[in-house]
Amino acid sequence: MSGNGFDAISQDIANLDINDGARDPFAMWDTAPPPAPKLKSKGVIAMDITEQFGNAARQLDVGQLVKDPYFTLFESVGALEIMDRKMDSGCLEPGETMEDQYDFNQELLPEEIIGIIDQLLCHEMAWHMGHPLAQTIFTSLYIDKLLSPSPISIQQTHFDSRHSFDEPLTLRILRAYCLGLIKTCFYVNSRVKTEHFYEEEDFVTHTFNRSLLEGIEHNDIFQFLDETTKLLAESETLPLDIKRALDCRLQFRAQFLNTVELADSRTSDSLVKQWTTLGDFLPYLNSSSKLGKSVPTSFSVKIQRKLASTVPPRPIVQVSQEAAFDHLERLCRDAAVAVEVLTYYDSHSLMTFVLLFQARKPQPSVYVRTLLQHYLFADMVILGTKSIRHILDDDLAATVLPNDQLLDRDNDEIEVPNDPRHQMSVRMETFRARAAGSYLDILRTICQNRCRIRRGLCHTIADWDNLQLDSEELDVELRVFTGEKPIVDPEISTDPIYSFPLSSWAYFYKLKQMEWIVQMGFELETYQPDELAGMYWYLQYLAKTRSRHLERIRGFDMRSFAAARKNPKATADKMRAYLNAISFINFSTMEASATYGFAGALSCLFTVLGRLSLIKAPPRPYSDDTMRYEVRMKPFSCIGLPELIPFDELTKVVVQPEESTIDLLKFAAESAMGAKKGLEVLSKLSAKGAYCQGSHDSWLNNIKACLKACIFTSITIASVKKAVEAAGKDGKPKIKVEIPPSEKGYHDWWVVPKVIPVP
Amino acid sequence: MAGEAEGSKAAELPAELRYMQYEHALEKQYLPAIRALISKDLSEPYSIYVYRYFLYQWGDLCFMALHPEKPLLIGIIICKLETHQSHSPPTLRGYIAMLATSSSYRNRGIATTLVRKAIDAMIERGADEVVLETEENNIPAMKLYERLGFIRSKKLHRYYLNGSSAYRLVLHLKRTVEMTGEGVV
Ligand SMILES: CC(C)(COP(=O)(O)OP(=O)(O)OC[C@H]1O[C@@H](n2cnc3c(N)ncnc32)[C@H](O)[C@@H]1OP(=O)(O)O)[C@@H](O)C(=O)NCCC(=O)NCCS
Repeated sequence: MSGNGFDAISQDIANLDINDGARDPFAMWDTAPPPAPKLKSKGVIAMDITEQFGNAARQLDVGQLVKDPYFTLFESVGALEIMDRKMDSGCLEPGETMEDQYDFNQELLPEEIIGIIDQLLCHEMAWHMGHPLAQTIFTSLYIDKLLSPSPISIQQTHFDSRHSFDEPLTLRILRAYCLGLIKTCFYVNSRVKTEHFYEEEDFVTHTFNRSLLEGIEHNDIFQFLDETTKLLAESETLPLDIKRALDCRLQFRAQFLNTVELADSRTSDSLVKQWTTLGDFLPYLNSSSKLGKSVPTSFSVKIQRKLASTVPPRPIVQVSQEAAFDHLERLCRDAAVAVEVLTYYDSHSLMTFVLLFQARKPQPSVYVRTLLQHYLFADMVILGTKSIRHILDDDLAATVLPNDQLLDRDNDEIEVPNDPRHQMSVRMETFRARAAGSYLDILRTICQNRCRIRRGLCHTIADWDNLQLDSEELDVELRVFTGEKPIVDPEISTDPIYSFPLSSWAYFYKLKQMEWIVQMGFELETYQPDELAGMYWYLQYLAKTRSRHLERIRGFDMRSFAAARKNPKATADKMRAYLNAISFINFSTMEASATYGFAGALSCLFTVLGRLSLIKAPPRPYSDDTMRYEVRMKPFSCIGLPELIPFDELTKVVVQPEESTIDLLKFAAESAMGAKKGLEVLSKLSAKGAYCQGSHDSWLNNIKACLKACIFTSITIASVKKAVEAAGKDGKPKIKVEIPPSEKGYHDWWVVPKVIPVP
Repeated sequence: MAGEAEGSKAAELPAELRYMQYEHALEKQYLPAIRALISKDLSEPYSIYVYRYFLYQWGDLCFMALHPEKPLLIGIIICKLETHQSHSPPTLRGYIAMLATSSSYRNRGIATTLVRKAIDAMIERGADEVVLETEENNIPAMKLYERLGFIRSKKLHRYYLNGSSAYRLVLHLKRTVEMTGEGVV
């Protein structure tokens, strides 16, 4: 059910006797009701309606629900029970006080400062991981003191007013660190809030009505950290190792603060350096942590009562130091990589970069992912330098419209309405206005968490289906102005064949997204074992469809290339545009054929495993195959092209009843072998040839992981074949099959079953 | 069906369990035990309003498994059934909100029986589909539902307060073309 975890609580209240259960609902009621509140508003006369209310309430049954038709489950979940300790934040244990009694004037040992700082870093990372400030950083009494009331100058941030004249160095260090920490959080929070993310699911930006030091200038805090570092250096009383540990913490914080402030800039070349410098602090920060002494009393769950929130206080989140450092280290590394997106090579490389960056494992943290979004989309200027049109035209040129008059910017200058160039320009602008959003949506969707990527794509493909239809109309209109001559080839068709460049482009991306949806389904372990044969069949079908579609695009690209070559005025630049598009088409075709070969092999293998009852379907008394197929294929049910294959047809092609098991395995082996060769060729491509400039390493790792999965598939197929051939009279091969969980395989998108001999 | 036939452990119970459909008049007697049984597996308790939200409106979709001799609640399922609007076309959607079997009585088919009773009641009322969410690591729950015919339609990232993700499980009870979004009253 929504919004509630199922981790067990310790209290043993099961097997409660139901006859003892019903308590007197009015047991909590004191004999004397509290005095009526004194109302001061003019014209308002307070009246005691206790009796009327009581009478009215007595007309109702206990447990009778009085609600309007709009009262939702969500609202009922939000309701609190007064005087229930788990829900009512004002409900105190006997002798418990509402607030903590903490002495901010007490001197702390330098070791304790280290302890508090390190605990705060754990809390900061817990926040980055998705926990609310209220259960992490805001549980620190020192932070609470600093932020309420909201200060507007450094002078107002003393933990104790007595410190204004005489602040111990230790507390000064803690204060400087806390100021830097909160300001860092401010930048992170603003970044996340500005981009597309899911509140609570990804990250909690809620600050519970507290300002994250918006009132104090960045430079003031930075300088304060710097001055504190100098004071520390002058101190002669501290042991050297302690001094060094404190110094490292102050410098680390200054560096973190500086980095997140600079991180928003899309021009700075020093960004990578900033993140690596920050990362360099971590080993010593981590190892010197053992010098610290924790001060648990300086953190309190009760502070949440003071925060603007509708939920009762929840436990302080405990993230281990190891996990915190691990997270921070990855954050630095990932952020440094994200910066590299700013170097633009070509539109396809850009998309590859984003796809592979998001597929890093574990997925980059929310803050880093929102930074990437910022680099990509801020102010609708792509990567800070390119118009959306620039990217879109690049992409069209590198697929369907190399060196095409439709993309000629000079057309925009023509104002004569009956000039075809003017008409082309107008229609292309219509197309861009329609397509830009859909194109950017792909990039934006793949910036989300893994689950949301799949969910998002399920929505965007419907839009791409419409885009393809709309573009088709434009393609037809444009023919009038481009004077496109169709291919007339009676061997292919009796009708003339036109290129339909814009809708071809849309179809290409729609197919890619449909493949991703199926593949993400493997990654997220959405399919049951007996669904795998069908889903891999569907994947190979989509990839094959893409490959055929690319064939068509290539035909038209080649035709315009040939025509252009006949033109003596054609420049080398123009020739390169054709070659580039053809090279991309070739690359994508190769990739598609590796995918359909591999998917086809797995589909056959799973079909065989089903036949041999090595993978069993559960009984499913409430469902039938068709109804489940409708659930599974729902995202595709609205897609016009390729039309959803009816269930009976799909079953026939997946189950292949007329093929013998051995023949199926032979075919699977050949198909896997073909895919392996394809992947090997791909793995030798240059960054340019594989359209992964800027992310060649990740791309290569990905291809190699696919290759390993493919080789392992061949081995599995061979083992199954051997077992089938060796099977005795009963035809039962002496093997069993295990399906490794997604994380444990060679590649998340390729579920390769493992065969184990049994006696 | 096969799912139930395989286990014979249920025989260890002294006698047949009693399964009972809930109704509002039973609140005083059973609600505290229902809350106790459900809360055992929750990190955060639901307020009484959540229970009443379901039980008052869809008591007939709530079933209890009771000990044959002692006044003891052993299993519980709580559901709702409503027209789901954001769909085109709308569907009459059943939702399994809560399900639990007391820990010492697990693996005897009790939850399976409860789920079946709830689905049967939904079918009787004309439901088009049944959905629910379950934590990604809750293998017993997932197996139970998948055995009955549910499949995972999507994964929900960090769905629960404790940070773990969930799967949405879906069971269609009709062909899509036959879904009307309206039930039998
Ligand atoms: C999930 C939960 C409700 C299952 O309850 P249960 O009563 O043990 O469930 P069942 O007995 O029907 O099924 C469990 C297993 O017992 C087996 N079983 C044993 N005897 C059986 C019998 N006579 N009939 C049917 N199944 C039987 C089932 O086949 C099933 O096996 P499997 O794990 O291999 O699939 C229970 O573990 C629970 O309360 N968990 C905590 C709350 C929770 O997670 N709720 C679900 C939230 S959506």
